[in-house]
Amino acid sequence: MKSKYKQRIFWGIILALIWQLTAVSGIFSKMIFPGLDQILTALFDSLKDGTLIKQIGFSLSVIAQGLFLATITALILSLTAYFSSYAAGLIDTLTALAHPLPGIALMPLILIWFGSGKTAILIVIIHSVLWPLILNLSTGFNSIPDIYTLIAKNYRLNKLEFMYKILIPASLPYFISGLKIAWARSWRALISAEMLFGAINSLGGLGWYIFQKRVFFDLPGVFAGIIVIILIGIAVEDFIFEKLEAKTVQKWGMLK
Amino acid sequence: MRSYLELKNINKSFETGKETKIALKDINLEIKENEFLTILGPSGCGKSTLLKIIAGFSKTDRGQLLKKGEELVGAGLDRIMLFQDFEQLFSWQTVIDNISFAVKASAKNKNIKLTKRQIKKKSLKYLTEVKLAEYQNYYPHQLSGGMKQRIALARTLAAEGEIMLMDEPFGSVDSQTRQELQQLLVQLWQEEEKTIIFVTHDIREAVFLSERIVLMKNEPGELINIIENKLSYPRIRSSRDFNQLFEKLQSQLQN
Amino acid sequence: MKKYLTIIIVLILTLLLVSGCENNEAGRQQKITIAEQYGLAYAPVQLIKELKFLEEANPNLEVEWKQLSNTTSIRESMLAGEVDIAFMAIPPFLIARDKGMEWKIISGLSESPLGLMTNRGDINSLADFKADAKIALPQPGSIQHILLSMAAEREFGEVDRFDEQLLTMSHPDAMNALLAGREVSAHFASAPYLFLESKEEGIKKILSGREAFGGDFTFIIGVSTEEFYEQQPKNYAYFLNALEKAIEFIDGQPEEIAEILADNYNLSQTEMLEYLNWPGMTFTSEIKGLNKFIDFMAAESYLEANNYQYSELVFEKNLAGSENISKEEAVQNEE
Repeated sequence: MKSKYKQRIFWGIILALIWQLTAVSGIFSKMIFPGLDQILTALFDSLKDGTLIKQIGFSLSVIAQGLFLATITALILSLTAYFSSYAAGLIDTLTALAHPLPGIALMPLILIWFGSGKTAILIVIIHSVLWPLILNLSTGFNSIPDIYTLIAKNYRLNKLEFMYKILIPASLPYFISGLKIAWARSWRALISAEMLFGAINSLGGLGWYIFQKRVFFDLPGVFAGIIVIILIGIAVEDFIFEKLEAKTVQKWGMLK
Repeated sequence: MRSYLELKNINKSFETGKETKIALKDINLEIKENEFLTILGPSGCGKSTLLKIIAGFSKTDRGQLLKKGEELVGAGLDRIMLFQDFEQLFSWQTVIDNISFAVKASAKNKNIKLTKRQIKKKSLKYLTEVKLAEYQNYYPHQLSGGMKQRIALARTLAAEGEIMLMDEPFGSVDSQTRQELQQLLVQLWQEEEKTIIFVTHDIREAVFLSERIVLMKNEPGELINIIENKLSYPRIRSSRDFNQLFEKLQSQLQN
Repeated sequence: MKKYLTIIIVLILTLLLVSGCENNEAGRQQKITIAEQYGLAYAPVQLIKELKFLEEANPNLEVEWKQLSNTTSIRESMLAGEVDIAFMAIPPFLIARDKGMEWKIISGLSESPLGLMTNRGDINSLADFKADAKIALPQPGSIQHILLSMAAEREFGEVDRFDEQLLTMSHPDAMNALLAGREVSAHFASAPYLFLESKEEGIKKILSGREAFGGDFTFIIGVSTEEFYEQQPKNYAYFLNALEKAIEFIDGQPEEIAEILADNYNLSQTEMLEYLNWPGMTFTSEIKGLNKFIDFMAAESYLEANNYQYSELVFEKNLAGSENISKEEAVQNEE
């Protein structure tokens, strides 16, 4: 096993022990600081009765849809900006205006325009993802070695061939790094949006699960939800992204 | 007799801030088919600029570029450039795929359809010519600088263009590797029928490789002289004739 | 030398921080923090604030009022030790108590009309609510949710029939959405939103709180942390007295109250008076319906335990009286 994982597991166990000792010692009331036993019980109960699985499924499916839509849009916009300087001006301005806004700040607007259903959550995710992706893709496209443009000219590649044979693969490191940022931002935005929107169709995702636990004053349940959020975050970053990088930019010696 | 490749009155200047730098002044040159021509000169004499104009990457300010009497516009597969930069290979493709890129481009240009097997076979052939067949599934980043240039050379060959343009391609490798590459290049040129225009500042390289040597000076970039290299192939670096020519060229450049 | 200097400075800062905490502890001995919420049902508490009953009784007492928007934040503030006394409905109190929250009831506060109001012409009864009709209420576990569940249980035998149609919305937002005909088909409202909505054309009441409960019940109760009760018994007593005074005042002299509080509630005096006198709006320290809430919520698993002793839920010193004795009798017994 990679040493990074060994280290993480080791320190994870140490931290868990410290947590449990603190909980058991009674310095804090168990209302504020539940022990691992309570938290794990809450976690397994929710897993057993299926509610947690349902919510995880909901959150993941929404974020997958959002990421997919945003990635396609970002690709189209960035490619357009690369080939047309007029478009570049427009897209650059849009990005500069929208990028600094956290999705939460836009929430009141989104609520009024899109209601509080799944569409609204998708919009929040797309907003969190689109701008960093565009920025990274544009930087990537503009950072490919000049020599590739000369080669494209030399071999008489048309715009389409240039795009998929050279432009996109050459900027893959930037795209992946943009995707990592996008994932992180959207995961956080998703959970916050779900918490804010309360109950939607009884499927409201992990954020809604935590909200429910909170209003029913089930702090161990809240922690259980938090643990799941962390585990999913790690799983995606460590497994999905690492695998992706290993198969592409790492193999090609292109890690930035 | 009509020339093969003709440069008529090529001029190029650049605006840098307030100054205007004259990179090329009144370059007139005729290049023979299948000859190995070197353009030799110090840094900044415009030789790379000239090569880029021949390739079609840049436009001359006035004057014309003609091949077989017809004006050349833009770039094309008839004039393939071999760059000095190691990064000219595509890092996301294996060695063999890098070469296939050129094979496919050439086939498309000639309106020929090739099957996957044919492409692979052709690519392997060119890779074998540069003696790197066993590295076909490696990625560029796993190879040394010299190996990368050999593969870039193979790719350039695989494009099957009449003219090969080379911009100091061996400038970034150590002298031992450079000599090996020079030898390989001469060998390949003798086997294929190609016109090679080779740019360098290294006098010995010019003497070893070329049939004719075009001397250039800088500020402004213009032709000094064209010297014939009648030494027989393969040239021997330690021979007296070799060194005599070297000294002749050196003194011409120094004035 | 620089290294030692840095260490000394850090130590001093740490000491200051820690001692700062200690000062807070000492200071808290003479401080009471009360959570206030907006709503007609909390009017006596507003009186205590406006007429400064506490400061009158004990000039040394530092009184802090915290504006908190919902019961969950109140619970969390109390858990963090930032709030001593708060007012809320019975179900949220029970849910937290059930989970181990150390608080108890100090008094009843008010009975108030509640109602499920709809803006849809095609809905005339609970049975007409199809799955797409969203119902807005403050949060799951609120008294509105419990009342709705009670009605659903009684009428359809399904306690969670409407659970998937609930939208968590504060009363002001819910009222706006209801009146705008946007998003929300119904709102389980309390005063004054209930009154405002009843006056609108196109809005009608489907279910009253009373119908849902099957009788009278106390809407808002007063609650204190056990810590406050045990550590500041004198200040607790002052508060009880102030509360008693306020309740009697409102009960007896609504016109004067209307004058004092109208601005506070952003209503005209006439409106204020109208609402105070609305049928079903009663201010009293009695607690009604506690056992019925416990029985229902325990049966439907909102609570784990169901055999609560009165003394586990209500402080010994309280305004409501003991379980079986009315308030007047309790007062007489004490004398």
